[in-house]
Amino acid sequence: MTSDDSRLIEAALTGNRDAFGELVLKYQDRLYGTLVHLLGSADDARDVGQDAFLLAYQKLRTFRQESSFYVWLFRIAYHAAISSRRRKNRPKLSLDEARERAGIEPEDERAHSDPERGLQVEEAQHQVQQALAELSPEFRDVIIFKEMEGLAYEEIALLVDCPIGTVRSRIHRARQLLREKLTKAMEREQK
Amino acid sequence: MSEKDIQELLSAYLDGELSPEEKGAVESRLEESLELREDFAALTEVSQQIRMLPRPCAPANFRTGILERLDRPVVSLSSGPGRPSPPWMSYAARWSGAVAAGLLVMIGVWALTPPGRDAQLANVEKAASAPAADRVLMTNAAQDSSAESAPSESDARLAMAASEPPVHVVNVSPEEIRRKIEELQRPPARGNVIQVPSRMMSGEEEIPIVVVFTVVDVMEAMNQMQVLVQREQVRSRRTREPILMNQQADPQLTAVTLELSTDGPEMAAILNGVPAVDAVMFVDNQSAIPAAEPASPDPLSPEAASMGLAASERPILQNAPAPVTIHSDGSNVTNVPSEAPTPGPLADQPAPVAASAEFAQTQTRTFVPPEPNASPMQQRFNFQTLAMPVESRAEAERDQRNVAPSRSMTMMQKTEGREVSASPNRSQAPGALAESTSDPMATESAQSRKNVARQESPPGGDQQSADWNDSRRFRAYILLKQQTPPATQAPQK
Repeated sequence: MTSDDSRLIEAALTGNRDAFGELVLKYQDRLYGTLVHLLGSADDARDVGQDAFLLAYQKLRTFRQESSFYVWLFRIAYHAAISSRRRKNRPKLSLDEARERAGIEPEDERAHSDPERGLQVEEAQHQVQQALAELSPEFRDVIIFKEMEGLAYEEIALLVDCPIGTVRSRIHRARQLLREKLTKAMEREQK
Repeated sequence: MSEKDIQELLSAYLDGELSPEEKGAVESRLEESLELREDFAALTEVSQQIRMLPRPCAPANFRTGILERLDRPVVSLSSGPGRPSPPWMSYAARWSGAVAAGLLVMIGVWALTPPGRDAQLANVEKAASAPAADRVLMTNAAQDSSAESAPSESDARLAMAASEPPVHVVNVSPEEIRRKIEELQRPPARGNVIQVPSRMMSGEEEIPIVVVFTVVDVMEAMNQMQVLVQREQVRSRRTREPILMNQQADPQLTAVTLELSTDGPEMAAILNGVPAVDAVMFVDNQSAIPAAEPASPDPLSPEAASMGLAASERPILQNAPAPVTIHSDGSNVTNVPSEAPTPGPLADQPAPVAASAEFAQTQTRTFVPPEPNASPMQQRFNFQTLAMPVESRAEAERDQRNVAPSRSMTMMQKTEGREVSASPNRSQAPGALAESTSDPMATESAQSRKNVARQESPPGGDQQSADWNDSRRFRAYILLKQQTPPATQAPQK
């Protein structure tokens, strides 16, 4: 818990909404970026992310600062993401479209100097995204928590409500599945 | 350690999640086995590939969208985090959000009413897919546009929809709700009717009105909505999938199974997964609501009246058309007006929801309370609503009766036969359903059920209700917006 976050939370608790706005600004990209991969939809990620911040604002008084604000926020967002998955009512906006909308391109300095290399990187990333999206949620969630959020197994176990041993085997299985999918994709490309 | 075990430990080794002994074992095998080193390298590469995936930034209006919703009265789910309040008011903060859920329930039912159903389906979908905080406003707009465009359509059903009176959706600020609930000095009980002074725009004029809310059990409301939607077979125009996701798609069978943890976030996640319910409130029955006193204080006492707490037999409710009244506590069934709403000075008020006889599907409800000594994670609600083929009903009823009374509550409802029966030795179980409607046929049906319910309620009904409350540590409630009494009624102070 950074002192900066503590200060902003204290200010927000006194009714200073700008302070909460600063917290939003600080964490919105990180949260949204993960939610896009979790949900596979930019629109869903936006809605869930915004709902999570609003819920965090509501519950701010109950936040005991035992963990970082972001971890607490992320827990809220994950539960909201589960709800969102259950709805599944609208067509998804792909990650590519999301990047297009947000004007975000893969960050690879080499891509700027070597267009061909840039295309290769983009294609490789697309394959990884595709493989990740094909995983079932039980595997996709834990691998995203580990790789993108850097959560410890214990934190992941609390989040998904299962034993650490299960988290360990799911993460391993997720990596194995991704490896298999990526190998197949490469083989298809070479043919 | 077997090869398989070592394989599984590779990922944990990569993540630095092994004990010193396990780590030593893995490193030793890595030194020995080229194949294992290749596997490890492959896993490492996969890990890096995921970490290097681009992570899009939030849209430009992400933050402003949140702040706008915080500033919007209807949208704001609470009046803010810093306001001092009684201990139980942490629940009350959620009530304001629950109001939106109540509105959605009402709007949803209205939209499913046969005459205008197809014409309004798109609007309902639009509202349902909108961000939760925008739904009420969007639905308002959707209704307006529907009313304006309908006369120009050749579709006869659209014309019928246009001939229906418009539905007025009144925005009540969370602060107003919160203030009212604070005045009660305790969380409202299921079945309570709460009046909140508000305003309604008529042209450019702001008219004072009183909005009446009925407290309902969110699980009951949700299940009834699911049953209703399933029976109506309402499907998305785009995907042809049911708007509400049921676990079984068979239109003849509706099964809603909820396994709800007493853990708030998980319960909220599940309940909020239903589009018609986007906010819930949890009440600790043991500390917040006296188990033996499920009903409100004497609704006719001066004190209660001053709090705006009203019984449903008050004149204001008798005269106004009630779209849908769901009393989930059987003891409140008798409080429902015993006659169809009579046209009074409020007769020109819209009746946004038509007959709700669709709610009364034959169904068996089973509630298994949590183990008294179970850990929080083990304490789960098992609440099931099952609608089953006719031939299996009798068997199911027999099965339900075999469950020990202290461990479960069951209820059978039957619409066609116009009867409500409870299991032997039990009162009308909480979750009993009553409708008040402007439709004479449906009213008759509902009235018949109410009469039977009165006849069949045994003397020990209150005790049964108390047992029920004792056995459920947490309940979830929403406020169901019942009606908007007219401007001629002075707001309750």
